[in-house]
Amino acid sequence: MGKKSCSQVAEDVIATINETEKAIKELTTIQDIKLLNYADWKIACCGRRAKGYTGSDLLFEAITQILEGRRRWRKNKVDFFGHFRGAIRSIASHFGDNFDDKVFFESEVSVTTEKGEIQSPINKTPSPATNQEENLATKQHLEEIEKLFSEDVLVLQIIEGLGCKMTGPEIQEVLNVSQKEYETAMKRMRRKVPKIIMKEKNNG
Amino acid sequence: MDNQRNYKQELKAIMDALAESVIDSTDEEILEEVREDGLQPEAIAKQVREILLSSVKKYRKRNLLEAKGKYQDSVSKIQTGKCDLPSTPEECRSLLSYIFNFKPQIRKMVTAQFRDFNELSDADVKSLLNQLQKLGVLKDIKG
Repeated sequence: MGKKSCSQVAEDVIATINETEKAIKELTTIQDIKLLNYADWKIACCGRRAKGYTGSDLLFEAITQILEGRRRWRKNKVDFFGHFRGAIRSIASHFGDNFDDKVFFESEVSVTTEKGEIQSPINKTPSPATNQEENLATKQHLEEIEKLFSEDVLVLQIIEGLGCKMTGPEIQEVLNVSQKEYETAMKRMRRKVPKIIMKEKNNG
Repeated sequence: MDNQRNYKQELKAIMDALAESVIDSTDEEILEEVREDGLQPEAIAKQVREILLSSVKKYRKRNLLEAKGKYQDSVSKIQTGKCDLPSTPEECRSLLSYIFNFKPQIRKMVTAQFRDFNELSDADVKSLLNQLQKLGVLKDIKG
């Protein structure tokens, strides 16, 4: 395999601040909505590791890192939307790299009694049992999702495939469904799954 | 069987797949979902735009403040810079002569004002060295 000559290797063209600002202004309405929704779901992926961040926070963090040069936009290689989406994905995947599952914020473990008193176990060391409680909560989430789609065979099969670390295309191939059918099923999931996530957040 | 399942991994995989499905959705699907939620697409887009552009504005402002800070530091150093020049007039004159040899363009500037190096009084020599000190010229030479 021959090496590329210098003339064939395209140099990276890093966008300037002005060009980045211009690209932001040129995003379409649909792209804006997709970016926010994407960030919201990526935050949902993080669970407690998100440390209270919202999708909007993730958007702000991603654009800040791009502007600061930590995630440079090579404008000759990828369009702004694609680059920004990649930044969101990457930042979300690193959320909680140093996160200790055994450490909980006081707000997460405080309870309010019927009398309205807030009881905080701040002086107590979190026990391993707390991590088990989180696992139980996650298991319950999954069961609720499966129950929600108990009559939607395709969705259940997709969920099973995802649980087996299969990708979308792999699932489509195994289930012998078209991309359109797969996307429609994912759309059904997007409409209903947030209700479970939000219910969990509201219950604290 | 349950204890062999990684619930966190499974839930994360679902959320990840739902995130990617957003990107793959058609424009019509996105608009339909927004309207089903009782929201206005343009309002959401405006919210996103404001988040992104506020970061640009903050970044530009921070850059400006940093540049201003550096400028003020430089000015402050010039204004408060202590002179560690030679103590005797002879030594000062030797230093100035050395500077003129090292940087001829400075000699030209000085002789434009004073016809001859020898015409410079001790006070003129000291004053010139002070000015060159504050402008950082001496740093190169002493280095």
